[in-house]
Amino acid sequence: MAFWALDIAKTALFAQQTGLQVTSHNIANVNTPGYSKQGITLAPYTPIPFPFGSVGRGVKVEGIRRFYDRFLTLQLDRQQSTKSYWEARNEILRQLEDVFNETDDRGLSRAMDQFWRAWHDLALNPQGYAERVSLIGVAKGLAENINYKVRQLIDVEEDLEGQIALVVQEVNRLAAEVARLNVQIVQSEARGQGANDLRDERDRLIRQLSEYVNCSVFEDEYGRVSVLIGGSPLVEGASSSWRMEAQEVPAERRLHIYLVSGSGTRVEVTSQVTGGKLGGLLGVRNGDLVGIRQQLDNFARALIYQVNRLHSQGEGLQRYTQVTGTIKVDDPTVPLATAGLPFEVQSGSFWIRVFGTHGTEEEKEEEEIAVDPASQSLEDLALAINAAFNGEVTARVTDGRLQLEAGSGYELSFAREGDSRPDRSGALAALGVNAFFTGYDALTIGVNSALEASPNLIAAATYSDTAGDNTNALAIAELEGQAVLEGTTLRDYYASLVGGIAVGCQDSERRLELEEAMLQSLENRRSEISGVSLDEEMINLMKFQRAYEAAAKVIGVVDEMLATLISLR
Amino acid sequence: MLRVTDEMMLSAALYNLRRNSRKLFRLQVMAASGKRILAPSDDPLGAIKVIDYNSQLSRFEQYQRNIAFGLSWLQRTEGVLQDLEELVSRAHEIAVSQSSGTADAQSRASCAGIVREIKAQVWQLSNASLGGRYLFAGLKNDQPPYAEDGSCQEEDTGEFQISVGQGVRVAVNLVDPEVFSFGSTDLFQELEELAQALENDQPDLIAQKLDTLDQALRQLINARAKVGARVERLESYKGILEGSALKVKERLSEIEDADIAEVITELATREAVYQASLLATRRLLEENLVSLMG
Repeated sequence: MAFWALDIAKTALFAQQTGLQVTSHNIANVNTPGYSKQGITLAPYTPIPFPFGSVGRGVKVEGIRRFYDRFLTLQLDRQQSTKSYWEARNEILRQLEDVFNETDDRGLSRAMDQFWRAWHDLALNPQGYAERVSLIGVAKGLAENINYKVRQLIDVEEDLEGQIALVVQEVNRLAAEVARLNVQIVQSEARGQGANDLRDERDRLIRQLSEYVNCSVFEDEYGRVSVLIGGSPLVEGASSSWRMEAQEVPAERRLHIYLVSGSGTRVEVTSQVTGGKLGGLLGVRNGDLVGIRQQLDNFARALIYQVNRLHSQGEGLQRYTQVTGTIKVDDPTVPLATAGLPFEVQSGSFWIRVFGTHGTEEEKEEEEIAVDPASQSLEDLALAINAAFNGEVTARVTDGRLQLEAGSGYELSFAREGDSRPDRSGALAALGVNAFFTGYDALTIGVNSALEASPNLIAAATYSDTAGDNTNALAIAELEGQAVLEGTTLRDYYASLVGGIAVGCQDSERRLELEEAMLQSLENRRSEISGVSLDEEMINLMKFQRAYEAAAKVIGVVDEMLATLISLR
Repeated sequence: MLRVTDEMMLSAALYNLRRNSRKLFRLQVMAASGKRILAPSDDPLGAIKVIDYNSQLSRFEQYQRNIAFGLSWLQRTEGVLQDLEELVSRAHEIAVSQSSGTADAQSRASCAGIVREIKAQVWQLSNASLGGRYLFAGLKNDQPPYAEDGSCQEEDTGEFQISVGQGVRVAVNLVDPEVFSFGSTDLFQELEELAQALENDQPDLIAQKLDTLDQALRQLINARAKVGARVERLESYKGILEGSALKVKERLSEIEDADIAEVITELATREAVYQASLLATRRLLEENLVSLMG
């Protein structure tokens, strides 16, 4: 019987030692993210039946269990995706908000205010050279401000694409890791060894993956997990032959996300990527950014067109000897309607007027040029102009632009004389002839360099030869209060653009705070189940130590008993 | 709560510290800058209003500038008209005295010189200018409108308008036939004829001029009344603009500026909360079973 007790003590020593090991493993991993507390499960050996009853055979370690809630882990993964989505979105929107920060003096709305002010000042003194120079300066400031904003948007876009590329790379790396762990876990568990730490690591990887992209995770009966993105596989059990890829579709200005299999099958999952950092970045890249760029372009386009529409029909203190349109057609031989003009030409007519440089009435000639954009190409228009005049004006197409040159001793004008010589076709503005602004969108807007070189060409007047006429300058200044873009003024349109970004930013800020709190509370629940408590482990430590001591005592006692027996001799 | 773990306590402490310090930081910046809106997202609607109000103020300032210009133009015009009135009155007086029987050929001849002098002064006044721009030249105001003989050099009756409000324009210049010409004749011609009648000693003709000079005077008085009315109109716009600008500034300040008293109070409260959470974290880190077991 005594030998038996020695055996029992041996099992106890082993069991308590294992307990101590697990406890120390827990203590060691108190700060390891994603670690799940482990504990040993002890059970008595099957007792040996005796006529007087069963006698126990000691303790055995049944297993080392992992304190873990699968459902909670899934919830956490999902919440992590949501939080990361808002985090990424908030970060980018805050960058965009900075671009469109109108609360300081560098704002675009201030630059625009100054622009209208400069036209008003010119209207007060249309002969003033200083007013003209100042107007050019202010207008350049406005154009550069708009250019700068677009360039910043492009920077943000490039930055986003860089980040997305990195995220995709990380997703692929993590997916490969998960597939590798799948193999290890199955092998380990098939040998009956358990895989607590490997499972923890896989969960940690899946958590990281969820941080990057929303994915669903399924575990099969062998303990392997599959990771799906919107129903398409990224990891299938032991295989990670699928790879994620990001590619731009230039026609849509959008970035698409594909899953590509080893055999080359491509599945587009762009619309399924709705969470995680990738979802957040992609949402801003394909949604907000495209929209903001579009709105900024609309704004710049309307500003260019409206100002040019009036300016092109006015006259400065000086007339042109030669003028070249600022807008290029793609093909001067096809009808204007389809020639790739950024602005529309209507069917109608405009006037070209020439004045002799000596200023006598006889030398004045004016011709109404009919325009039909459906049938006339830019070349045709040039021919029509040449046919209308007897060499006082020569029109030609240079590099897709309309160029008009006054014959020697003549000067060109497009003054609408109040409203008796209007450009009803809009061709002058559409072709950029006698334009104030060059370009057609936010990136290309600039001030006509011809005006910059000769500020006297700025058309403050609608009448020819009338230096004191400020009617055109007044009309342009009054554009400020007119609803010229989608039923609102340019200022209100821009303000609503800024407001939209601000609202998006505020919204993402609030959501982030909310989702962070949610994640925190889920983390707490996970910690409740899986976290290590040092107090608890200290008690366990003592518990196992005492038990070990007691078991050792048993061996001592048995030893003494054996000694007693041996000394009986 | 089932179990409280170390990780839980630490992450809760960290989370709350971060939240509190974030709020504290915002309040500090608000107190330091005196601004309520640091970024548009703090108050999107407010940020839009700030844009609108700032632009309104900029517009009001412009309208004020336009009005100031209009007023200086009108005041100059008024002065010229006053001078013209005086000159015409004098011519009228001469016509009255020289058309009576008490005048003789000699006095008429000497008066003719005075009338010619008056005419020369009228001509000078007709080409009065402000900052290089001729008051009565319409829109072609870079050239003097009248030649010395009173004939029109550049006939232009364009109105020079200034903008005094959204879509509101006010013409500031007077153009003929508001000043010099009336009926089928003009002031220059009438003065010339008066001078000739005086030279030729023709009392009947001189008496005839009494009527037309009266007309000229009435026209000048009317013109001055017109100018006066415009000045009044501009002054009233100016008053309205000043009032509106004040209101907009008030509203702008309401939206933009932080209520310092409120911010400071909240800052103090937040500071206390932050310190409390720091203290709690310290206590948390100090106390556990390990330290007690030594």
